[in-house]
Amino acid sequence: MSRNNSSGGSAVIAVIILILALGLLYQCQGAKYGLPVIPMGGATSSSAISSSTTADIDDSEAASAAASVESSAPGGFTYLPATDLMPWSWSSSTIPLPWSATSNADPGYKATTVADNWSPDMCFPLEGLAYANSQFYRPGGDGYVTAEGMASKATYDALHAKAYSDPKQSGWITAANTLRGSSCDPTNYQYPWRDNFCEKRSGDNALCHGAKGHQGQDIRPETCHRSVHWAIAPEDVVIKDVASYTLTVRGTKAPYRIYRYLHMNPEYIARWQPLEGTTTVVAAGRKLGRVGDFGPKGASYTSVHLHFEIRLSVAEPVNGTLRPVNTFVPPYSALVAAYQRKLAGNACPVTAW
Amino acid sequence: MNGKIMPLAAVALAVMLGGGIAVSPQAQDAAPRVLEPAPIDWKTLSRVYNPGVAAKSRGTRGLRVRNEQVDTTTLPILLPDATTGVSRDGLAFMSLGDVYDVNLPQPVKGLTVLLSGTRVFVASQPGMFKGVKFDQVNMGGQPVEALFSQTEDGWMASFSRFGMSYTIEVICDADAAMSYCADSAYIRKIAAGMTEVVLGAQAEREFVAATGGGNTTQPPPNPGKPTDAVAAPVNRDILKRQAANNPVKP
Repeated sequence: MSRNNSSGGSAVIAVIILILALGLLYQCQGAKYGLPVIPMGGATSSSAISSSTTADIDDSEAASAAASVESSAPGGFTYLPATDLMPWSWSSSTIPLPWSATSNADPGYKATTVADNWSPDMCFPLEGLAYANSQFYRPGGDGYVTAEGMASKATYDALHAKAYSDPKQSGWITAANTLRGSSCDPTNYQYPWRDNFCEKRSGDNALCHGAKGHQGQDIRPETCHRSVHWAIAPEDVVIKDVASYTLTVRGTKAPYRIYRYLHMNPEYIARWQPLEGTTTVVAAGRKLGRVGDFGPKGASYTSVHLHFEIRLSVAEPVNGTLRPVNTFVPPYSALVAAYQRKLAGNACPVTAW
Repeated sequence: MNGKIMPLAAVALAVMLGGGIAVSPQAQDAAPRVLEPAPIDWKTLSRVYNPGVAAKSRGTRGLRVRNEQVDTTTLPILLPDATTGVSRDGLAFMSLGDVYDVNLPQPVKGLTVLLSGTRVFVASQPGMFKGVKFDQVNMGGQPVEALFSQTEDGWMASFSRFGMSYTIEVICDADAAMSYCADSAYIRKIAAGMTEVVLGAQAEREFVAATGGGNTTQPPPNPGKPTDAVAAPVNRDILKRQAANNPVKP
C-alpha cells in the first residue's frame, strides 16, 4: 500500500515537472511557430493611430501633449520572451510571400547568446508609452506585405513595380501602401512587445546565427508622429559621438556601456556636439532629442522609431585567458525591466530639454 | 475521486507556474557580472612602445589640450599611424580612467573615425563567441585577432592588445563618405596602422614598475593625483634593456 502511494506521488511530481517544462518551452517557442502566447497581464491594447502616413509635427505644444503621459502609465503591458523573434524574420527569405521558399532554418539568436539583462538599472530610453517590435516585418516595413499585396504574385509584382520602379509616377504611394501597409497601422502600436535583436539583416552580429542580424532593438514611440517624442538618457552618460542621425553615449560607471540612438532628429542631437577639450556629462533621464525616421543625410529613411543599441566589452575565457570582444548585446530584457519600472511609477525623473 | 482531482489540480498549478517562470520579469533581471579592471600586459607593450613616437602622438592637438585626461587614463592609448591616412586635425579625447574615447572627424563630409579602449569587461559564459570568425590583422608587424562588423551606418572593428579591449568604428552618413564604408577596406587599413601607443602619467608609472619586475600588474588600489605629462619619467633605460625584443628602437 505504501509502495503504491509512493508511486502515485512520484507520478504526480513527474507530471508537474513535465508540465513545467512544457509550459516553459511553450512560452519560449510557441509564438515562433504561430501558436498563441499567453500574455503577461491583461489586454493588449493601447493608443490607436489613425493617420495613414508618417506625420511630421514639430510643434512643441503638440509634442508636450502627446508625450506627457508618463505619470499615467496604464497597465496591460505584455511582452513576448527574449529571443522570440517574428517567425519570418529569421527565415531565409526576406519577404514572407506565400510563394517564397522559407526554410525557417535560421533561428535568429545563437544558442549560446546570453539574453539576460545587460543594463539592469537603465532608464527606459523613451518618454511616454512605447512599442518594441519589428519595423521591417510589420505594416509599413519592407519585409511586410498586406493581404491585398499577397493575393497573387501578379498583383504583388504590379504593385511592386508601381511603387518602386518610378516613385514619381502617379499612384505610387497608394501602390506602396497597398503593398507594404502603413507604419502608422494601429497594430504596430499594440502590446505585446517582441524582441528583434538578431532579426534578419545584412549587418554583422556575432551573437546571431550566421553572424548576421539586427544589432539593436527597434522601439516605436507612443505615436507615429515624427520629431514629437523624446529620447531619454539611459544612465549618467558622456557624449561619445553625434552624427547626422545617430547619437552615441557612454555610461560613466563600470562597465561603461555604450548606447546608440538611431533615427534621431538631427536638429536636436546637434546640441550635444562635443566641444574640443570638454566632456559633456548628461544625467540619467535627461532628454536627448526627438525620435524620428531619419537616416543618412538627415533624410526620411524608415518608420518613426528608435533603434536602440547597447554595446559592451564582453570577455570569455579562451585557453585559460580572457578574450574581450566589444560587441552589441541584446537590449530587450533591459528594456522590458526598465519599462516595467516606469509603468509602476519608478521611472527615472525626466529632466527638461 | 480525490485521487483524480489532486493530479489535475497539480497540473493546473504547474501550468500557471510554468507560464509564470517564462514571463516573470525577475527571470530576465539576471545581470552579467562586471569584472575587475583587467591587468595590462606591460611586457608585450614594452616590445612595441616607443617613447619618441608617443611624445609626438601626445603632441597631437586633441591630446595636448586634455593632458589631465590622458594622464588619468590607466590603459595604453592606441592611435592610428600616418600610413592610415586618418586625419587628427579635429581629434577630441575623453577619458573616464579605465576607458577612453577618441573622436576623429575626417575632412570628408559625413565620415568619422571613433576609437576607444577599455580594461573593464563583462563576463560571458564560455562559448558565447564560439564559431565567430576573427580575422588576423598585421598590426605593425604583430599578428592581432580582430572582429570586423558591418553596422547600421558603417563598420566596427574589435580587437585586444596588451590584455585590453580596443574598438575602431567608422561612421559614414553622407554621400561623400559612403565609399569609405562600401566594404571593410578602409577600416582594415586603419586597424593595420593602430601602432602608435601613448601612455598617460599614471600608466607610465605602472609601466616602469611592471617592466622592472614582472610581466603584468594589477591596477593600483589608489591611483593618486595625476601628474603633468611633461614631468613623467620616460622609460628609456628599461627599453634599452629590452632592445633585443623591441622592433621599434627608442
